[in-house]
Amino acid sequence: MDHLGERLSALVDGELGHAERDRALIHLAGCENCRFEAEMLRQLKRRLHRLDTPEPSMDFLGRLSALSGPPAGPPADPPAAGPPAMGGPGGFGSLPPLGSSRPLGGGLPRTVDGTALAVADPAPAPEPARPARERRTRRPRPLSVLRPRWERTRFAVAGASVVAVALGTAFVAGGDPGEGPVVEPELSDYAVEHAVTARQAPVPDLDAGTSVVTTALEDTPPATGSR
Amino acid sequence: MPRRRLVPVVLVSLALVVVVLLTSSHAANAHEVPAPGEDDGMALLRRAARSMGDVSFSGVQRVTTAGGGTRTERLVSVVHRAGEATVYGEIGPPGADLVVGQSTPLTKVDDLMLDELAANYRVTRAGGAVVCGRTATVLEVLRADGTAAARVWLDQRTGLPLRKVVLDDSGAVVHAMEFVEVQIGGDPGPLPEDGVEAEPWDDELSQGELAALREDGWPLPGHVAWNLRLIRGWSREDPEGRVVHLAYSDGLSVVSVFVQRGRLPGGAEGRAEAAADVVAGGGAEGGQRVWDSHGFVYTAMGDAPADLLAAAERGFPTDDEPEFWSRVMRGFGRLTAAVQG
Repeated sequence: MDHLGERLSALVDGELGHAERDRALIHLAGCENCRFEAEMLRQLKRRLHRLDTPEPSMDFLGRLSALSGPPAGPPADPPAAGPPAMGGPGGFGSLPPLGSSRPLGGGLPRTVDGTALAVADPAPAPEPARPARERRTRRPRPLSVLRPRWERTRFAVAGASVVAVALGTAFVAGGDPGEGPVVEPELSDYAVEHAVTARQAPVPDLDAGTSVVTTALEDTPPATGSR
Repeated sequence: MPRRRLVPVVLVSLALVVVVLLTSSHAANAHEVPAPGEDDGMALLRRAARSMGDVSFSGVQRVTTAGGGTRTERLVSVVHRAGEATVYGEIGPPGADLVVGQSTPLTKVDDLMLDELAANYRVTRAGGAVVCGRTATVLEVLRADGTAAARVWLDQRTGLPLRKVVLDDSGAVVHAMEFVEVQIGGDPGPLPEDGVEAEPWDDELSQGELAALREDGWPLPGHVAWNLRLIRGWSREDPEGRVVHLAYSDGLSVVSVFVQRGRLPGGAEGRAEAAADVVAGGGAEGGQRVWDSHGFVYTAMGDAPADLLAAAERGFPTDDEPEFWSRVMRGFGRLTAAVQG
């Protein structure tokens, strides 16, 4: 019996012509091996279709959350570290120098009496280098770097604008400083009030008949004000 | 102790001695308050204030005011009935007498002035003298630098002030009052029936009312110079609006500042000289200043040294100040008033 072979794949993919497809289906009705194989191919194809569904990347989700709130914590991807000999990812000098944790010849460092020390906190194994492509995709784009700063600046600009508008409105509303009625202070009345409350004997000029002796001390005219 | 260690110790000690000497030899500032030293004359002044309520007297006073290049002397008849009133009259052509009632507010002013005097100056006894045939104790009111700001002669028997001279920084007389005739005790005679009664304005402002007026934009400073504090305030409603009378004192003199809304005629805003000419017809007194600024008219007067009067004037807003913020604040006030209806 001649099995379907490569035509089976074409049948599952729906690439056979009408007559060819009828012959293949007739064969499948009588051949258990080909039926099993076709079923397997269909399952495989369904799984492949399911795998094709795109999932949002973590970077994308992170940027989405950054849009709705302030950026929290340091960036997930620190700048590229130097070589391990220069201190690793923490920068120069942030890790103990080479050989301080264990001797060059291997084994545990030893105390003065020669006993081996237990390594309570072994140096973490160096992380496997991430693929260059992943680092490139996770590096923040220039605009996304500017975005949080602009969020803050936007509020500052809005606040400054409100203050400027309020001051401008008040300045305009302040208007002419010389408003108000024209008044002439009642000097003689005020003089009486002052003399009474000052508790001093000077008698205000009730009328011109008061005995007053005025002596000019200097040739300068009487001062009436300083401005 | 090794000699090497002694050197820095000696140097530090010398430096401390120099600092102490420099500090102690620093000349006192005349405007330092309170003036250092013991007040051994304040008790006599307080007794003098009390004696006005207990002792009647009559006589003639010579009142001298100097300032602005002129000296003015007046002869005034005084009749004081203890606990009732004081009558000031003219010597010469007949005219109306001025009757000042001895009301509680005025007695309170005496106490407040004495408090200010104690706060600003040092009052000491400076010997004795004879005034109008009566033995008097002389008190000197000293500034912090030791110069005399005033001298007061108090009757030794009754404590009444017989003479008082207020001096400026240069020692010149600014204001003086002295009895040229006096009879103390007994019945000084009845009060005149046709006298002009003078009393302080009825509406005395409380601290709360002053604060409310300040909130409303009234410039009512509580302290206008190193020695001038607001001791009392009164208010009166005139046809042109409210007038506020503020009395500032250093304990010796009283400077009255009258504040009212509006502006002076003739567009003389901010120029006291021109404004005073406008108001007083060119005859403004030396101890009197009138100006307007930012919607208020100010009238300051007092028998006080010229610098004290000028200091009081400087304590109020003038047109020299930046206009921007005052205009903005005025604008906020107007907007708030418009919103509140």
